[in-house]
Amino acid sequence: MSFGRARSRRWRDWSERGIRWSLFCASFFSVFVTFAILVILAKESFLFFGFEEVSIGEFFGSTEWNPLLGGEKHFGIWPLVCGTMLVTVIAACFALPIGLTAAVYLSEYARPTTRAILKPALEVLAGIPTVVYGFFALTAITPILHSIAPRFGNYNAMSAGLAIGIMILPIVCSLSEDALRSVPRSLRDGAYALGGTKFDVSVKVVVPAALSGIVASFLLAMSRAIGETMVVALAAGGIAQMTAEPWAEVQTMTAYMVQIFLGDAPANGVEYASSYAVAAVLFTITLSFTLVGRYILKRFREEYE
Amino acid sequence: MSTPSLNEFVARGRLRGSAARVLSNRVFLWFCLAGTTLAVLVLFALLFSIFLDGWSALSWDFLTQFASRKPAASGIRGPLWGSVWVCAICALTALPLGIGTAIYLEEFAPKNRVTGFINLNIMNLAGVPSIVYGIIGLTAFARMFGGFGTAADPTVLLGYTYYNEYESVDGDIVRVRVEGIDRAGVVETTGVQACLARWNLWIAHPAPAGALQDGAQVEVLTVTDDGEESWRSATAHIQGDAEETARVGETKSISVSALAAATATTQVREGSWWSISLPFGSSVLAGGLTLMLVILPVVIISSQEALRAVPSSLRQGALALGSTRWQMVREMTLPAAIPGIMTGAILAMSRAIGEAAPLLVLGGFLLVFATPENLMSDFTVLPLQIYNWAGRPQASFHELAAAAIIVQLVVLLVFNGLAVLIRQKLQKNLQ
Repeated sequence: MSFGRARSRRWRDWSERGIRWSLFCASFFSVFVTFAILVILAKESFLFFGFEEVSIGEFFGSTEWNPLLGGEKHFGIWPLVCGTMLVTVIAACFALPIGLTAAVYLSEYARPTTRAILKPALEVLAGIPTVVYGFFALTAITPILHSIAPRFGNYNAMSAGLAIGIMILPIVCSLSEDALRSVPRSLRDGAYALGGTKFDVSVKVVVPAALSGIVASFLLAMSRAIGETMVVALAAGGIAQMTAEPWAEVQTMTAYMVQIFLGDAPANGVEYASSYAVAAVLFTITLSFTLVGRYILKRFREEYE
Repeated sequence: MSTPSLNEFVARGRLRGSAARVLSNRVFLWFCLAGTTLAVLVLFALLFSIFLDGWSALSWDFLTQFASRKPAASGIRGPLWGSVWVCAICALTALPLGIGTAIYLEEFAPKNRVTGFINLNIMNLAGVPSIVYGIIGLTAFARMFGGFGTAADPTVLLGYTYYNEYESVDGDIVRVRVEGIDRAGVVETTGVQACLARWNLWIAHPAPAGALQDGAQVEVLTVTDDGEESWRSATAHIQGDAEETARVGETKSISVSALAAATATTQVREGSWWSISLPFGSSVLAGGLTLMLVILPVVIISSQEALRAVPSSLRQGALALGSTRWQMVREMTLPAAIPGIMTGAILAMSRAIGEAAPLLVLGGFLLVFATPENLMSDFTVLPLQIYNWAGRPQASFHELAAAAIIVQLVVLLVFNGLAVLIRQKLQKNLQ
């Protein structure tokens, strides 16, 4: 009897330990993935800078990106960063104001029934695959832009930017709304008691109180826009250039990577290696957005308890 | 008592300050309403324009045909099955890993710096653009850091059967299984003449180089008159010269077809569904694993939230009764959290179904005329097919893209509906 109990306990201890270990290994896998990302990007970028056509000074200093066409090759990252930023800024100009006002409406004004319909509708928008937005940009937004101003060609930054704006709109709206709703009732009640109108309460009390969450949602949405691939691959065109004109054809960092991996660039060539360096830059930019967002959320959060 | 209207406020000069405030209040309300309406309108415009474009191209044939260069004969059979394979692999790998991670972090891990670091790390992984995961998948899975040769000439092959393939004049194919070979190569034979008697293969001297011996089991592709193909087993007999063999065959059996003199036969390999070659190349396995990387953080975070929502009184009760941590998790926490975990898992899978960028980097297989047969098959998925069609200039391909988008959205709708259903059916009130 006692022997049996002891054995079963030992068995239990061992299986407990085994399960604990396997779960720990599972959770360590995510750390391993991060490690793999860093190592792969660093190693391949290092190889890229080993090519004689390339130098770190040119990569971060030159404003010419010309890796594929015949003649002299130039690897200056700025045109790609500029294209990415142009598209992102257009998307942000569209999505941030609309997303925030929609969030304020949903959280402060809308009746519960209205909210119960609108919020899931916006979440549907968030679940649509990005390639659908690319298709929408190409077949709906671009023709409309072209009919408004003919200088918008078949591919332009504006169309891609607007489509990405539509894409990140639900992220901004949903996360900002969460931040607004987490502001405690007592703050609103106090403001109303002082004679504030709904406008006063929302804009002067609730929005400032939720500002850290709102800014974090903005940053998250922007980092999504920066990393977005399918929309720009379809609608933004393929010319890497330094421009701030929304009707111009631009190439973003992600679109360049698609072009390389879809094309016939030889696996050991300099163009191929360059895409890893571009990926490293993209990774660094989005990571810093995420980290800054988290920092703001932590540092500037107003605690109301 | 009703609130005085705006005009009444304005009429009372004394209250001009508050009139301005009422006005600003009203303007702001309209502003907010306009923003929300615009957001919803955009959603409707998007769905409406796609339905308008794609409705006419949608049909049963569209679902069951492969892609084609002719728009009218095109369908999404390849990408549909590709999506099924890739998502199945993705789910089988990402869900156990993700849920296991969440359980460890929430239920087992001490709240120390290491745990905090892992948590922060997962948050950051969730923000990494999917195309970066595509590059990681390409390097780690498809090419395996170049350590195992190239995808066209893999170093390690497991679970494959090799055949020497002979072609006859009238298009029959005879496959002779090769034993004891672990790599594909071309076997050169000269002067092979063979004839096929029913379920017996007669081959003339000299026998093809390789492992073909008298009495070896071979496989024969027979083609019936209406074009149906099937592989049958047969026994090889090596005998005499060509003419003699033919004669032997004729005397032995009713239906005989002569094989052409093959100067060189190719060797083919055939895998079962679990066959694996290293590196993975642009296979469904590499695709599924890459998508696993993409959705892993999503699965972890949503599972963590579901576990956190379980009241700690349940845990304390289980521990107080003397259960171990794992017993507590198995009997109390997991059953309570499973609706939330499943909802999160389904939403993560619906993200995986819609991902195109990482798979585009991985393989760029844009036209695939077969459904995947094993883990090493080439594949394409629905979003990639949509990308391919949308990028073409002809309007008829845009219609196809729109129709494929409708199919994709319907699948997503089903997934989301499932998630909502599970949340409502299984959620118990634990407070």
